[in-house]
Amino acid sequence: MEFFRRSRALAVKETRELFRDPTYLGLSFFIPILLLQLFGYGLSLDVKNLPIVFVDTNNSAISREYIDSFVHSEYFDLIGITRDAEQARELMQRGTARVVVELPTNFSRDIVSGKKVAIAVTIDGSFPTRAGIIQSYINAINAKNNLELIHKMAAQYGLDPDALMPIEMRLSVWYNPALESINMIIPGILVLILMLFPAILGALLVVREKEDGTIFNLYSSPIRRWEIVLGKAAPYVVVAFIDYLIIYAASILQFDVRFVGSFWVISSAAFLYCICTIGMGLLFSIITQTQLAAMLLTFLLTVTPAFSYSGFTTPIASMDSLGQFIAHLIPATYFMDIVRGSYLKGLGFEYYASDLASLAIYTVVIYTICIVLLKKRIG
Amino acid sequence: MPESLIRVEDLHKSYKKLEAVKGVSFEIPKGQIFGLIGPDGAGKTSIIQCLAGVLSADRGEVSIAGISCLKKPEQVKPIIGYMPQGLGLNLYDNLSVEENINFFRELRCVPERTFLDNRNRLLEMTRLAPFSKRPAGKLSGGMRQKLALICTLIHLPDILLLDEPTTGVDPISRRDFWQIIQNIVSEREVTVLLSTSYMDEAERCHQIAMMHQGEFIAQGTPTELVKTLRGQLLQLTAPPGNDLLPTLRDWPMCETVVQIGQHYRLLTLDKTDDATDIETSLRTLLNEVVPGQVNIEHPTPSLEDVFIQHTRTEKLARPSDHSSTPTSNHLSDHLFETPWGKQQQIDCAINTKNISCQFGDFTAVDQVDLAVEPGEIFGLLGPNGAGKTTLIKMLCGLQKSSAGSAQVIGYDTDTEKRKLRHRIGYMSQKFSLYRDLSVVENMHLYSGLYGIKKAVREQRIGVLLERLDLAGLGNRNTLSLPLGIRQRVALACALIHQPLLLFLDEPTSGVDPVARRQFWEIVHALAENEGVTIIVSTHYMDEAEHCHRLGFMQQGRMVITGTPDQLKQQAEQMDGSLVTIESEQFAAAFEALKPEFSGAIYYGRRVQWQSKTPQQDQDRAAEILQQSGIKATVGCHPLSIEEAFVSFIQHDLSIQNQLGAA
Repeated sequence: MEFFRRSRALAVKETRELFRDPTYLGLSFFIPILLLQLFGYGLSLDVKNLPIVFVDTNNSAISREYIDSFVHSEYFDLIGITRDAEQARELMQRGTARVVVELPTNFSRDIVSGKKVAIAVTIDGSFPTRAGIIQSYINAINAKNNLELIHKMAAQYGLDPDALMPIEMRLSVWYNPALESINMIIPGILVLILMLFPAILGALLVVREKEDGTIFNLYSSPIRRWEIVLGKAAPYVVVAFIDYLIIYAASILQFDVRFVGSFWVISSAAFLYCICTIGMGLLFSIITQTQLAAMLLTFLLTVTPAFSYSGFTTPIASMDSLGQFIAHLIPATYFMDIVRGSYLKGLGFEYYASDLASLAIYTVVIYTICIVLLKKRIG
Repeated sequence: MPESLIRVEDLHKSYKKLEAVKGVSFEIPKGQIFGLIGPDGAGKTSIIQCLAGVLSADRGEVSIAGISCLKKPEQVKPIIGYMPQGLGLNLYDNLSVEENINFFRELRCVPERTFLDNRNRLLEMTRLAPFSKRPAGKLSGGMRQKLALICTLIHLPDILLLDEPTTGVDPISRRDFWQIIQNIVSEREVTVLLSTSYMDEAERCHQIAMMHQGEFIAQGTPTELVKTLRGQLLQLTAPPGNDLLPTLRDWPMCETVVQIGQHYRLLTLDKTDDATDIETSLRTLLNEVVPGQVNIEHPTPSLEDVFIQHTRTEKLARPSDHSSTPTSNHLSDHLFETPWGKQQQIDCAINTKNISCQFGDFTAVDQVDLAVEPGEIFGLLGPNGAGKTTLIKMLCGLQKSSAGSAQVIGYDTDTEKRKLRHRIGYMSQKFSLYRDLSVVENMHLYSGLYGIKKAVREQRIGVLLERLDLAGLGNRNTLSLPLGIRQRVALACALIHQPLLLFLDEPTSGVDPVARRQFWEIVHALAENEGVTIIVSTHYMDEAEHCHRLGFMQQGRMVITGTPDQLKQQAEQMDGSLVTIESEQFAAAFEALKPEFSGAIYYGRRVQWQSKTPQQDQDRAAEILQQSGIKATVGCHPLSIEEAFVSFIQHDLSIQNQLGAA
């Protein structure tokens, strides 16, 4: 078993170097965990506690009731009620307020007299997705107010309110019933971290030996190319898998993310994914000559597309055709599917077969390219 | 002639536009040591890498034991050991000595028995056994290189490819290193190809090839090559205070002449004139200019003499090649209008009191006391890591001292750095040039840094270009120039502000012998004509002879200072005279003499040791050699700087060990 012996020698050497070099040790364990904390606490896509300002020149019981309907929801934080539209505009410009709702002087009079009344709503549209969500909140609260008015009028005229609105919607939310974004973000971060760090570590593996000159030991010895790849990748696959286990544990114990799937399904997928991302890094390491170039290439080609196209923030189905094409070119997309599914849906192994197969094919292709491009020569 | 194990035929290799190897052919029989000698960029590394199977060639064939290294590189790799250039560059710094050795063992799948025997022997020979737990990154340069050799030899390769294995290694480690190589060659008939820039190492090879600009300019055994030297080699010693250089240069019979300390090494033109005639005419010439007796000797030609003659001939054949222009004569004039250095009114150019430099728990410079006079050429000698560069940086005010004080040309190095820097020049190991700028642009940059006025600037640049033999190269991109010329450009940049004191940090590393000679001539002229004080560090022991005074450094300490002759005499008094055995069968002679004379070592093609009873030793050695049937010349030689250095360093080490034990 000569091949095993040589690969093992290389793996042992890599492990020793890893544990004796603070930079590598930090990149392997400390920084991924730090990043998880930063994203876990800092990144929330929930739109809550929005600062709202009302311009109420009507100042009646009806207008106050309308304002209360906003203030009582958990989505809005009342900054103030003013009579001065100019002041509200200023609060908006300073960013103190994100929403301004203007109730006209004739607000209560028109409602009582059964006339239609227009209110002016201004939303800060700097962040389009958030603006969209705000709009839907306001619509919903406004609709609720309208509904109450209809009920009152119906009672007044002795009509059955249900007959006025015959269709009722009963909503139930699956997988993330509380609609908490952390349930979606942490699993996404798991995918991104396991893309970035194994790739960076892999990227430094060969190129560092090129910079130091030790690569000639491998070039000038009988070790085969795939033995080099195996010996280099193996210890770091283990490192990446340990990272996975740590992040998985933290997601459940620290962030209370709902996990309903099978630990074995997600873990086997994670193992395959780690092999794949280490391989990507290794590939960049093989085609570059300096650690800096390898790192830049890794950032550009792994984490950037993974962030935008893996379905981390935007569902793939809602991307344009180019976006969808790119999404299918990166391994993070397939793993994202499995991870999100495992955390939230908990389906069986067979539901992920195609994702797993795609990852496996991807991995085989990456390693084949690595072995083909790894020349035991310098020119 | 035994069968050739290594065969190289018409090898060509280019890197983009640069032709590194231009049609080289040679063969090495089994069990021989083949040396490639030549400056940096001559193409040595490319040849070695092709043989190691790590570089492809453009044309030609390279084979080991009949297997093509270009077509089937993987088949030759099990039987070769390749050590790349650079001190221990194949080692993993974070791994210990033992772990490094084990890695190479596993990489080569060495069986247990072979491994243990071989490892223990190698560790013993290199004296590295006590350090087996120490990380490779914390070994000295010499130790690293010995460990690198162990790692290369651990799988008992039949072929050893060593790329400048001893450059920058201390003389003692170099001796250990050669001992191992000679042993494995004689025991296991290992075939060795190595490159070196030390001429004495080249002399130990069975065959050598001199390389210059991608071609072999001469090839043969060292003895054969020395015989190819045309003309006569003379060594002249004049009474102090006489400058013979201009006279000798103008002598029509002179081919080359170089000043080494008080001696002049002169090679005459190749004429069939009788030796005595030449000597007589030289004496007649010298009698006119030199009062008193000039001593003329006939030294044994060295490979360096041969190398210089060959490269000169090459250059003369191709006059367009600027790098080869023979040295100009105008150096004896003043470089500028006034000899600026001679105007200074100071007694001491450098005066340090116990200066030290500490990096953490590592002492880079340890309580150095040093006094250097104005106009002196002072050489700092020592292996890599001895503290030479740190000491120079401290004297320039670039590195703060952790204890003690230093006055350089009257300024305190810690408190008057700014004033100091305006009056000193510094040229570093790497020739601190901006490689994408042209020669003149680099000089403009340096003038700007030193605040030199534009009017003065152009005039000075013109003079420097001319005097340093750089005329016509002003607009060339620095990167495109050969190393030897780049070195002179760096010197021109360091001189643009007319420094009173010039620091040269390993200025000649990797530069070819011709350029090295030319460089030293300029240095001499600067000291003598301009009164500039020069501090130069080097690890080439033979260059030390160019200096007025030397300081030997070891582990941060200044072990001793003195003139080259003083140091040699002192060393001779300490350890005795040098007994030398010169023989074609020098390896066999060594084996025969080793039991009796434990201090015997190889030096070039001779076996030598220092002895306090030289006459007795010579008689006994002659007896032993006769009994063993080895033809040899037994004699006594004056000590070289290298032997003096080794003597002082070994004494210093034993004193340190005693102190440590106490």
